[in-house]
Amino acid sequence: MEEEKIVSIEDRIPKLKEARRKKANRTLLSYLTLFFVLIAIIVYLQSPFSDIKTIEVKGNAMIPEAQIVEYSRLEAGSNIWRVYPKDVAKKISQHPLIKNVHVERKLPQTISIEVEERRVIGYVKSGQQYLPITEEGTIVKNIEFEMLNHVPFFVNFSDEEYLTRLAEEMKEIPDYILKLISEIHWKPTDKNKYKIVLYMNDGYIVNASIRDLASKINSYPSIIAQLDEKQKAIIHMDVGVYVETLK
Amino acid sequence: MPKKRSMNKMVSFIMVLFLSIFLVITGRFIYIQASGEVDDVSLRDWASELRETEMVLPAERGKIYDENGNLLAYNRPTYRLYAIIDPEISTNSPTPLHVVDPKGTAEKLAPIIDMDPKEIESIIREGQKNERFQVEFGKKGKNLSKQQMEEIKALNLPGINFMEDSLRYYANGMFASHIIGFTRPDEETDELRGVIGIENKYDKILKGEDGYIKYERDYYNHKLLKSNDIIKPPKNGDDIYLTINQKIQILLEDVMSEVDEKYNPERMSAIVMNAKTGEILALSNRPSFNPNRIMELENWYNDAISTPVEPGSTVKMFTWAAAIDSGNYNGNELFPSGKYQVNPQIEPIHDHNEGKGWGRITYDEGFRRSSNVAASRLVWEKMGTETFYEYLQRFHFDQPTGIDLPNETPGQILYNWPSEKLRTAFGQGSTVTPIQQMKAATAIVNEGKMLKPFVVKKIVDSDTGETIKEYKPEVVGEPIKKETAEKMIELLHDVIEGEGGTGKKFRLEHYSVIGKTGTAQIPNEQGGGYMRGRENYIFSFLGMAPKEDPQIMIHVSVKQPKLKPTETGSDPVSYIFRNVMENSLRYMEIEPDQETEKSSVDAITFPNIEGKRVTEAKKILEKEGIKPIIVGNGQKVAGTNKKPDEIIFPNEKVVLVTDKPVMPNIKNWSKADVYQLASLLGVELIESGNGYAVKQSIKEGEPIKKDAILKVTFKAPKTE
Repeated sequence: MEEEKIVSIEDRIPKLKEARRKKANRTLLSYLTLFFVLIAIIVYLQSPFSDIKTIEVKGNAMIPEAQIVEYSRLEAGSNIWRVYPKDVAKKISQHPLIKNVHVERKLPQTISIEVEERRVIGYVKSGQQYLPITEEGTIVKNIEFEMLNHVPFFVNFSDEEYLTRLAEEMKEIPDYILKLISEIHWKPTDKNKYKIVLYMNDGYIVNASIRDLASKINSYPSIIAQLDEKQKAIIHMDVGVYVETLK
Repeated sequence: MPKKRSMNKMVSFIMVLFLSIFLVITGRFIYIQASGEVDDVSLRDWASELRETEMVLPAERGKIYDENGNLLAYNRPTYRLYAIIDPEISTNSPTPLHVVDPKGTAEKLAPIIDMDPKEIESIIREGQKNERFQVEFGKKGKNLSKQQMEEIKALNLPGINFMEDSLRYYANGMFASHIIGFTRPDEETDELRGVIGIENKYDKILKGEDGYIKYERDYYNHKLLKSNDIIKPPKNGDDIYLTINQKIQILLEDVMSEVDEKYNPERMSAIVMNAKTGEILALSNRPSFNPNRIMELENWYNDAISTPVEPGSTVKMFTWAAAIDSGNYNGNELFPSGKYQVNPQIEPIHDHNEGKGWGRITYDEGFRRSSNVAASRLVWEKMGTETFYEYLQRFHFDQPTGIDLPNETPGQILYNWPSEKLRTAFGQGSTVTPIQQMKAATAIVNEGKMLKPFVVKKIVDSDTGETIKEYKPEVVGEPIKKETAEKMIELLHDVIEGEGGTGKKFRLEHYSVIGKTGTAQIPNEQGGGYMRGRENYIFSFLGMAPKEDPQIMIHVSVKQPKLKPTETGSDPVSYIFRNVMENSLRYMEIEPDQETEKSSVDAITFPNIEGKRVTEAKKILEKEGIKPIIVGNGQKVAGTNKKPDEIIFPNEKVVLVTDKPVMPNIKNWSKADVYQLASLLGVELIESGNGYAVKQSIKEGEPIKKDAILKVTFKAPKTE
């Protein structure tokens, strides 16, 4: 009877065998999956699907898009995973006319660049070319840009110190006033190094001082509103504000 | 025993001798002890002289402030450079304490103190030759600023040292220079002394009193342990607060400098006064000087108070006031203007338009036209010369104003002969100063009460901060009645606003003005009579504003300005007056009493017209009050130079480019506008010159081809 109770090991072997096999299969399967996933990744990385297809540039107005792309050193066709947004942003911010930049990957195939341009407060002539002056007072050289901002041309600023000082004032002047000015001529005299003459778009001449241009020029629209349209006039904004009519 | 006796004798002799010597010496001791004197020298004094040493504690000169407590004059430490050249001083020192390398030292010092290095070197070498202990470097080595001192110290030059001096410093440079004045070291005592202005008038108060410290010392100059110190602290000079207002004064100085540059007159002066109190708010003369650099001194005189001149027509206001006040005036009465001759012996009086006059006019009109004939008639026929003389005295034209500034020189009334009496009526012959006229005019704006002008507001103890003395407005007379004053204000207003008034140029934008113009002839110094030529006058104006309750009074006079053919002598005068008056009133927050036509403009938000039909776009814009310039004759809007929602003003050029653009006429367009047009049209712009367009290479009406080249010549506008 005792013997009957004993289950032969032989009987149990098939079950054990099966369990062992199942376990082995599972392991194999997971290895295989891993293998294929890796293969898939490699295939993806090798395929054109992981290449940059479009570079999206937003927020630029005067800087040509191509120039920003050039600064980013990105190329269509290079691998999107090899792009480190922070590095790219750093490269783009080397551009003298760019104030802020944000770079982002937009999967699957797009890099998005969003820039904030520096405010240009004037142009200064160099040879046959105009160079932009940023509100920080720097003259930006060797940069291609579009002269679409309606800001004044600076003339005769032979001393950069006064140009910087003027830029400081211009920074305070809102765009809607800035665009009324066509040219700013520096006309220093022995007694007054700060003297400037403004040619306005509407034909009036303004005599002013670099020192308090920002606080005074804002009243320009209301001053000329009182003038007879045909009357030629010089508007003095140096000491006190008054209008001198010309014959 | 004769031997023994003689011996005894000997002994007693010696004893007596010693005794007497002893007595003489002790006697002398006792005497000295008691009397304390040797050879008439008090030993006590002599001892303390030997022992005591005294140091002066200099009093600091008082500061000068404006009415709001802004510093105008104060003392600034300066540094005097000296070089120790005696090598003995370095004997026990690890580092040299004297100048080791004269040449190198000189070269390093030279650029900082702006002196020739050779000169510095030769001063040092000279000193070494004469075995001097130290040398100084004259003017260039004195009065160095702290910055220069620090720069030199940073060089670490052995033997180069500094002594601290104090320099009177005037914070604003050329600023009320004739009022504040300046100081100069006394030639003997080297003490600062005020030369002109407040510095001079209040020298004693500003100077204070030097103190001293006394202590006792031993032979080696060390202070004794139980020294009897005597300290008398210095009494620092008191501070003076002026009635000058820094803001208004700076404004005045700026305007004066500008006029000086533009018109280059012989002389100019201007006074700004608080019409209600007599406080001088600003005063400036040209030529002037910078008290920090007295070398450039051109003009010592405070012309406004020290140079009486024949004033011209501004005094007519007092002639009229006298006639009205004495009850001898009817403003509507007519008189023949042009020429007036009292009797054949007296030269006739002419009106200023070469004696043509204006026919028969009223006396009121005579005032605003500044008629000499009217003035003469009022004195001669209406009130009589004696009454007029009495009023001149009542207005204090015969005495100084008593303003608290030194060197006031009042004018002189010439009133002996009929012609002198007549000419005084319109400001010739007799002389007055600007300040005298202002004082008299305070009666007109203060209901007949005349105020004394003053420049010092208060004196404050600089140590305790307590006010020692405060000056208040002072009524010094009542030359005219209240009603007279009111009538005069109306007459003075007509000068500015009335028909034919001579003061039209003095109108202000926001405030009503009253005042009287003056054009005084200048006596010819070679030969008699007056100078000729249209520049050879003193042009002046005495005015107040606002009319209803005058707060500020300004007198401006400009002598012999250089005028362009289009300019008149009142141009520089009115320029100064208007700028200073308008801005001072505004600064004092006086309510404007005059409407300006329109003080602000409405900005327009640019509508979105992109892609619309031209006719429709035009309609939208015109509704907003914009008149666009339409480029070409296409049907559709291809582009504009304004963005939607952009803020624009009515004067701005709005360009509408149609889909079939042709070249517009761009004559007189600004460069910025032309650039915008070029970029709208897509043409390349080649420009030359600055200013406004005078020439364009693509003719008006020619169709625009893409990438065409547009050449534009610009020309600067006339600014005269």
